[in-house]
Amino acid sequence: MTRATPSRFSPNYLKQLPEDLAEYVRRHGLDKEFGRLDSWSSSMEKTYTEIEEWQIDNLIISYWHIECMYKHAAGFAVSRFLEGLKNGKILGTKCEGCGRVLIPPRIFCEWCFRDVDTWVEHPGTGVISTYSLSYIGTDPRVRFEKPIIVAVIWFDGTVKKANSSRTVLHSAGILHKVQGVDPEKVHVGMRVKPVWRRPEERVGSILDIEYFAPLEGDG
Amino acid sequence: MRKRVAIVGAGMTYFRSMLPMTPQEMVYEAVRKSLDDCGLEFKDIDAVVSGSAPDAFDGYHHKGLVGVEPSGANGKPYSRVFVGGGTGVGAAVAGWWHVASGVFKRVLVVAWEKMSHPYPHAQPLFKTIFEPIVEQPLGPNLIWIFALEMRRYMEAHKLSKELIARVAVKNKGNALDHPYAQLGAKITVEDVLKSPVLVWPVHRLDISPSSDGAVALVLASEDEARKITDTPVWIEGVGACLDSQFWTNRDLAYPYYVYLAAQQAYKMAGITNPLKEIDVFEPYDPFTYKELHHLDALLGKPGLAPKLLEEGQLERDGDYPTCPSGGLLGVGNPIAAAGLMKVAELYWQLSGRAGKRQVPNAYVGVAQAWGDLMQVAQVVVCRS
Repeated sequence: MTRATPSRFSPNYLKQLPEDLAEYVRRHGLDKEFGRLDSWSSSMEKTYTEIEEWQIDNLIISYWHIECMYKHAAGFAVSRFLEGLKNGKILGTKCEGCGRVLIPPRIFCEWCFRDVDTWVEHPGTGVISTYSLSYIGTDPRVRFEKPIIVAVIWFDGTVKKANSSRTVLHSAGILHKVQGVDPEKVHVGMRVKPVWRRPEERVGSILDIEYFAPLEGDG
Repeated sequence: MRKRVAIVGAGMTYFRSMLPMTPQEMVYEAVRKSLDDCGLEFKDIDAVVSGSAPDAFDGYHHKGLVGVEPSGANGKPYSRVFVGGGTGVGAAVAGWWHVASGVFKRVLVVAWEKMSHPYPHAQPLFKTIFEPIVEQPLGPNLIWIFALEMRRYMEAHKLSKELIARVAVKNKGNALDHPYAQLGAKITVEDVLKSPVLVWPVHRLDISPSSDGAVALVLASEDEARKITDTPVWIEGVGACLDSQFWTNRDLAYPYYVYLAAQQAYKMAGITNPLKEIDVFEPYDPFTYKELHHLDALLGKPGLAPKLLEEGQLERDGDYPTCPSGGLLGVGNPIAAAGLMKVAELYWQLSGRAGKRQVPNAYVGVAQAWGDLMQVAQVVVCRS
């Protein structure tokens, strides 16, 4: 059988390619990917009881090296939120219909379905609604020795509960990281405050808040 | 006036971490089996509804098109449903619309996923499901949202990791009886707790695997179904619901949107007390705690599912058999196909063809899937 792509990738793979193509492959680091036969073979070491004729020769490897750049419009509401972060402020909008404080802010209220244009500033103190201890990052192959504490922070005074139950219907809140506390000691309900980067380091990003830290007396 | 809709045939491929087949070959195998199951030919099918998760898994955009030829959809109306993890059950719901509307008489529903394509792992692709401006800069991975939701759920009902781990023990055990299952196994609670922590409180064995696989169902209107089979399983109710994209503004302890979707389906099916009237439950279980979290909402009673689990009521021979198939934890999780597998399981259970997995006296069942950023619920209620 002939194939457009060689079925077997050997360390000599590059030698089979015309020089300019090989140069391209090297320049983009693709040779390393094709050459990594160990990890392939380890991923092949699985038992496939019902499947016969399973062999690496039947795999066609394609390697993406597409650089995707995106310019996301932050929009009316989040642009102002990011500008606030740059100035060390947490800004939100407030719906005059249901009274909810909206952080991350939006310019419409999805409960009342009306325009929202009242802006409020929040000191950023709040409680941990929930948290987790992440031993892996975006790439699951990289394992951290010490976990990152990831949490949803609910901002003080913005929690709306149902009258008849403990159910929280809404709270202004964001996803962020928590530091300055032993992972063993984090708990739901822990009081936290934002720790800001120095003004000259802030760029108008969610990372202008470096992390959230326990308020004194908690943790 | 809506038409009554029946499932008359089902078929599926093996669920495996890596199948040496193209998506087209997988779809063909599942579709062929489902047609053989009810003695139809592809020319008997009026329309096809397909479901598959993000294109990025395949490195191939407009991947919905790979389902066209192998489902015999050339020259027919063909659509692709996508609501994240809810896609599988969502495709069955959309198939129901086709027939219930009276526009089509025989509709094929097929869902597939090939997650082994991305090398070395599909996980980095999941980063792009997060909001790009205020969430992606934090470097999230998919397991974060589950760990956060699980922790909140544990806090709300004071649940232990030990109890939640019993879901993995039960489902992987049930999957031993499923001929197509990827991860049927006899394990213990200790095995789960000793498996590596990925994002606490989530351990490796709390998570369903990534898989390749395809599932197909044949739906028919009442008059057609009576001609095709003596054992149709009726789709008596469907429900679908979404919650806010702003998930950090919500309480993750209870999936109220799943409750709302279930209530839609129950109302349509005339079910007033799910605890008494439903015989088989197939809630979505990509993670151990998710089965309990969703069952709470399907039963409409927050915190009840963990109690039933503790009493052993969720076992196949218990009063509320839950995931008798083995679920995603045991059978495998090829995203869209996993959801449709749950509806296929209802078909097999309620028509008495579930073999070793058969739940005795099963007449009414509910299947549910969940997806996007913790906000989609899709529910199907079936009756034999």
